[in-house]
Formats: sequence, structure tokens, C-alpha cells
Amino acid sequence: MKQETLHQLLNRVEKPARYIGGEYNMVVKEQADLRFALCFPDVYEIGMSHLGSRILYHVLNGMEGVSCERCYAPWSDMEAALREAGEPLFTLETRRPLKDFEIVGFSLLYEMCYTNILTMLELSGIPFFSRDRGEDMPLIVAGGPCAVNPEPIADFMDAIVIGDGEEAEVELVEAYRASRAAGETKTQLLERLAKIPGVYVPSFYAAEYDEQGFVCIHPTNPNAPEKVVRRILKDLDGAPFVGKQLVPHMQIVHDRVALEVMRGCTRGCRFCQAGYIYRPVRERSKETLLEQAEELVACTGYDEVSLLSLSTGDYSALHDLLPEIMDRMEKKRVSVALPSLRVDSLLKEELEKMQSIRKAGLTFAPEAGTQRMRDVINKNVTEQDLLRACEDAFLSGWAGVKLYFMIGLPGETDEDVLGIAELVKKVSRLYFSLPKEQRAKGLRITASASTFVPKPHTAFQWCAQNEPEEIRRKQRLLSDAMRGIRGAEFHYHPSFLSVLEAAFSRGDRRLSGVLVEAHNRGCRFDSWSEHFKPDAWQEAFAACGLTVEEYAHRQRALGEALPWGHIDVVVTERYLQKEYEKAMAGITTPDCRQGCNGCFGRAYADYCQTARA
Amino acid sequence: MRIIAKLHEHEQAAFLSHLDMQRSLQRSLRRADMPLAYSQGFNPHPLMAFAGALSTGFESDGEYFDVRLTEDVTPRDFEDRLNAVLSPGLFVSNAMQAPEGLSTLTGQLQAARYTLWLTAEGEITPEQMEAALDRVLSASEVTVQKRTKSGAMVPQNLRPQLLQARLLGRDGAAFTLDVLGELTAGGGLRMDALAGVLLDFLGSKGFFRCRREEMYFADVPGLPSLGKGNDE
Repeated sequence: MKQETLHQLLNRVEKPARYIGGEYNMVVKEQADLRFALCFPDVYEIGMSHLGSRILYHVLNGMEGVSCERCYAPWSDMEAALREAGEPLFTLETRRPLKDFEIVGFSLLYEMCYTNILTMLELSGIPFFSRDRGEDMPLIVAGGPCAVNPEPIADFMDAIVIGDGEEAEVELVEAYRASRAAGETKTQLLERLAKIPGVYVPSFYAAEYDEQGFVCIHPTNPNAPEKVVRRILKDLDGAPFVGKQLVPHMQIVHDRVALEVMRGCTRGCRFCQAGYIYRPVRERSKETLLEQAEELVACTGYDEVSLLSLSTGDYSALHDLLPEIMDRMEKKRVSVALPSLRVDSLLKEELEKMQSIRKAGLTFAPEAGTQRMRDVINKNVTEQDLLRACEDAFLSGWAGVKLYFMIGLPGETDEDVLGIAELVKKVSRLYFSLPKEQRAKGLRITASASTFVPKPHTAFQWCAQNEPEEIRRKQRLLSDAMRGIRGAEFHYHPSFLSVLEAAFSRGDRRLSGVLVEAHNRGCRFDSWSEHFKPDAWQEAFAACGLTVEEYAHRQRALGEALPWGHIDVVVTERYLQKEYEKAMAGITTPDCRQGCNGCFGRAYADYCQTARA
Repeated sequence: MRIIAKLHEHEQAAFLSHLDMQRSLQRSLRRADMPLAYSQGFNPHPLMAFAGALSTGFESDGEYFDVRLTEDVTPRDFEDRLNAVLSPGLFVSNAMQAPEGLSTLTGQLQAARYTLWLTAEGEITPEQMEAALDRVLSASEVTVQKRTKSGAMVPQNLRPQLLQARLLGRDGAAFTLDVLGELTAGGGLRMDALAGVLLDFLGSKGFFRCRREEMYFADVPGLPSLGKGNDE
């Protein structure tokens, strides 16, 4: 793109810094034999915050002759400017249109970004459906957590990486090169890709439906496996990390050095997809983390380091790591943040030390209001755990706590919903029972209740989501009960977005048609309230002869064929069934570090080191 | 010690907002491992300040800033170390030790010189451009609309803030103008408004590009001031 064209586009948009690139540590390769466009179907501030993309950017640019360049979904003002100027969407590194790339890869972090994938393809003159793309078109691939049910976007993608991408993406690029060197056709290329463990080639599978809906899905090409098995990076400590982290000019959502202390979680919360699809737990050593912290702070100039994982309080070396990293970072005036703490982690001293550097809010996620409900979802924390954690926080100088809850959980009664208000009331009372001179001033409890969304590959994958009217009733019930609790405010969200999320997280291939219909009706950035068009979505479902209710609100039978049944995330379906049955009986499952619960079954038992330790 | 230096913002770096620029420079100073002095209090921040804010989209060869250090660094060393870690499109020059007794650069700021590239639709001759410029310069009042913080539009006379302006020539489709405008802590000549007025007088529409060339200060030894020719 010409400099002058770019400037004219930039003059027309609200936040030009989203599109200029030039961030410190950006990798520009003028010469490359293979260009990979790493696309994030959300706005720059969110995409730039994604750790997985940072890792892949580093890994791919580390390959000889490969140029990995970034592209984010253009905000509506830039989309309009590009359309009006007749200019294609471009990457930040070399400002090339996506069409000029050999491979275009999308990160799938959230189902409600799927319409943005279509916008990005359309602005690049690339047909949506893989079947409509000829040999001259880039290979379109995807990966990320949503790929564990790839079906709603399967018809758009040539290949999808299931699971950890560090190794699989490299193999995919190498296979692409080998195929091109051998002068192969696209089908031959796809056959090569289908043989890579963890790579799913949707066009090699056929799905069948009857009047009731989904019947089955099976391979149609001899090179495609019956089940695509999730890739698992075995050695996290030895794996490449982010290299030199990009330093954005504008403020992004997670604007700091992020260190991945571990991948996976042993807790086994039954609603939590991440808890299942990132198993087993793999940790980085304290030494590696300290080294990465020093390097990243030096090459970015950031003044904050965040210790990232699904549950950082469970990191086995945390009590060794924290004092040392805080000590080293304090000398450089860098603060350390712990974003994912469970209320049952014992961290009072650490909290006090962190307070001395910078004050930030504390967030706890009890998820449910009664012990009965927390047992159902296997959130193994008690009221005492939460109250103790809040007391520690109040006495350590924090007066602001955020409490996250869900409503609409399987088997939830009104008593469980009201239990949320009871719990918040207890936190408030606890605060006022503490001596005035010892507690932090100005209590602020921010309680929020999101709507439960059943996710594939979890113990609740068969569950019906509550209908919107029921959710609204529960929201009102809770909102009334929250009134008058001192120092507390309550937030909840409109529920139709969660309905769509439920539909797309457990959808089948027929939903690709719905996505196109919705895109054509102007649906973009659906998780942003100013862009969300519920009516357009209803019309899009209707245009395809489908209903969102069927996908979101139907209870599935155990043993029923599931649209994601050909994706094997290594946690067995039998294990999930057992967990579902235990949930319904209110029986908890202990943390698997206390003893193996057998979630991987026999075939993959050796993938996991946790139980043996 | 305290160092004053000049930051240049070229090409895409022009599209950074003033806040982006402050954040970016702070991180660059940290990457350069400068011995930064920090403010006291709950959220300590490096003691660093720009003389003025630059509009988003403007290039600059004249953004002055000052920064306090806890150890001595030679101006030469300061420039070299910072230039090694600045993002593409940014560099510093003219580093010097701040004179004793200076409170803030902003407080001393008086004016700034700009190059304005004005592209008007239609066939506009240099004579027409000259005429439009003369009309602005000979008026005692040139009213433009200014958006207040609350979003309301209020009339504003930009003429007193326009100190000098002359047509330099043409650069492709654009007319090139050299403009000297008032610039103080309280505000200054708005170049977008001036460009708007000129297009208005030409009876045309179009767009402009702008670069701040220099800043002028009342009484800071070593920095450019009006009428003393330090400009060169």
C-alpha cells in the first residue's frame, strides 16, 4: 500500500495507532519465501493482548525464510474507509494484502468473533468457503481454544490446528513448503496436512443430518483420521516463549509483560472448558521464569509483569518464585501481578508485599452462591475460604474486591441464586466487623453474574442453557436481593449474547451458513454492545431454516452423537460422563494432584506427569 | 540532573496520540536503562514532561521534553542510548543539560513553526492560494468553530494566534506553507482550523498534512526563542 493512501485512511479513523504497526520489536522481513498472516478476528487492543499469538509470532518468525505478519479486525470506521477507497485489508509489518500471503491463519479465542473472520476475508477478496477457493488463493487455517469444536467455521477453513500450536504450526509450514516444492495440487497439500497429528482438514469429513439435527460425521479421505487428537506440548519449560515481546504504542487490554508460569489446571471445575482442554498441567521452572522476566523487562521497558496461568496460586514453586521475582523486579521499579488467584491459596504475605508496589483490585471467583451449587460445578472452595481471603485483602490494604458468579448453572434453584446475595452480604458484614483502623478505607464489592454457557468437552457439554426469560427472572431476583447491601454493587449482562455463544460453541457445520447470513446483515464485533444486532442474528438463523433455541436450550442425551465427537481432546468422553453424573448427584472430584482421576483413559495416560509426582 | 532533548516523530509515528507518545517515550527511557528519577506517592512515575502536546497525525521535528535523572549522563550518551531503543520513525537530538532554575518547559513555551501541505480539490493556482493567504493575514478577525470539552461548538478568533505565514511553493499536488503560530500552555494556533479557513476561502475542499518544525521559548538558554535567530 502506498504511503499516501495509508495516510488518507488513517486520517479517517478514530484510533489510527491500531493500523500503523511500527511497534518496538516488530519483525519485518522484506525477503521471505513464505509469508504467514497471523490474523486475529478482534480489534487490535484485544488481539495484541493475546499470549498465544505472541508465541506463534515468535516461533514462525524464528523459521528461516518465513515472514509472520499481523493483521487485526478493522474497526467499523476503518472497514468503511477501506471499502470506500477500494483498498484491501493489509498486514502491519509490510502492508501487504492478505491475498498475497501463502498462509492466512486465524486465532479462535471467542465464538462471537466469527463474523469478523468473514469481514477480514471479504476485505481481502478471499472467498469465504474453502470449496470456492482455487489454487491461487492462500491456504486458510485456524487454531486456538475454540478449535475444539471447529464445526461452525469448518467450511471456511482449509485446515485447523487442534491444541497447542508451537510445534504443529511449524510442521504445517514445513508441510506446505514440501508440497509446493513437489509441485502438488491443493488436495495433495491437504492430504499432507491431514497426516500431521492435531491437524484437522474439514473438507475430508462429511457430516450427516436428519430432521432431528446432527447424525454423524466421518472421514471421506483415506489420509484423514477417524479422530483428530489434540496436540499437547510435552515440555513447556523447554518450549519457545514470546522472544522479544512487541511493545504497542497505544494502550492495549493486557499492557504488560505476561509470563506463562504454567499451562493447564488440576482443579477440575466442571463448567470450565479451559480446565479440560489444556490438560495436563505443565509448569515452567522458577529459573526459566526469572530469566524470561529479566529479558522481557529489559527489551520492552514495561513496568509490570503478570504471572499468567489458569490458576497461578497452584503453581508448585510459587512460594519460592514470588519473593525472588518481586525482589528482582522491585529494583527495576517493575510491579508483579497475579491475575488468577483462587480464594484458597495462602498468599497473605505476598499480597502485603504486592501492595507496597502498586495497588490494584483483587478478583475472586466463587462462581456460585451456595456450597451445594459449588459442589455441583466442582468449584472446591468454601465460604470460609472466600471470607478468609477477603479478610486478608481488607487487612492488607485492599478495599475493592470483585466477585465473579454464574447463574443458570445445571440444576440451579432460586435458593442457589439468592445464595449469591447472601455471600456478598457476608463479605460486606465481615468488612464492617473489622476494626476501623486496621481495614482499608472505602469498601467496594463489585459482584457480577454472567450467564452460564455450556461448552463442548466439559462435564456440562450435554446441558441445556437456561432460556432468556428464565435468566432475566433470575437476574431480577438477584438484583432485588442485592439491594441495600453496604458497599456492594451488582452487574449482569443481557442474555441473548450468551445464547448465541451457547449455540456457536456447540454448533455443527450448518452454522457456517448462519454466519454468512449474519455477516451479510451487518453483524460485526458482536460482543461489543454498540455493534450487537440481535434481530439480524434471529433472521440469519431463520434464513437457514434453523433456530438458535435448538442449539442452545436443548438437553442432549448422554451417548448422543455430538458434532465435535471426531475431535479427541484426550480427556475421554467416559470421564466427562462420569463427571456429569457426579455433578448431578452433588459429589465432588478432588484436585488430581491428590491422586489421578483417570481423565485421559489408558491410551494417553503417559501424557500426564501430574498424578505420578 | 535534568536533561532537555528534542524528539522527532516521522512517518507513521505521526499517528500516535500525545498519550501514546508519552507512554512510548517512558518505555524507551526504561529500555535505554536511564537512571530515571521517579515521583513520590502511590503510583510513582518517571519525572518527564513534554513542552507541548502534538495533534495526532502531525509529524514533528520539534518536540521538546525534559527528564530528571538520578545520575549524570552526558547529553551525547543520552542521545545515543535512547536512539538505540526508540521505535521506528522516532529519534532524539539536541540533548543538553537543563539550565538551573527552569521550572517547566511548558511555562516558557511561546510559539511554534509549522510546515503545512495543503491539497485542495480542483484547479487552484498559486495566485489564488496567495490571495486566500493574504485574506487571512489582512483580516483582524477570522472566526472558526471550536469544540469545547462538553462537545458544544463555540466561535473562536484564530487571527491573533497566527503570527506569520507565507507560501513556499508546491510539492506535488500540495501547496507548501510556512506558518508561525502562537503556542503556550493555554493553547495555540490550531493548524486544522487554519487549513479549514484557507480551503473555505478557496471555495474548495481537500486535506492537509502538517509537520511541527520548531518550538520557541521565552527564556530558556540554549533553546530557540523568537527573534533571536536560534532557529537556524
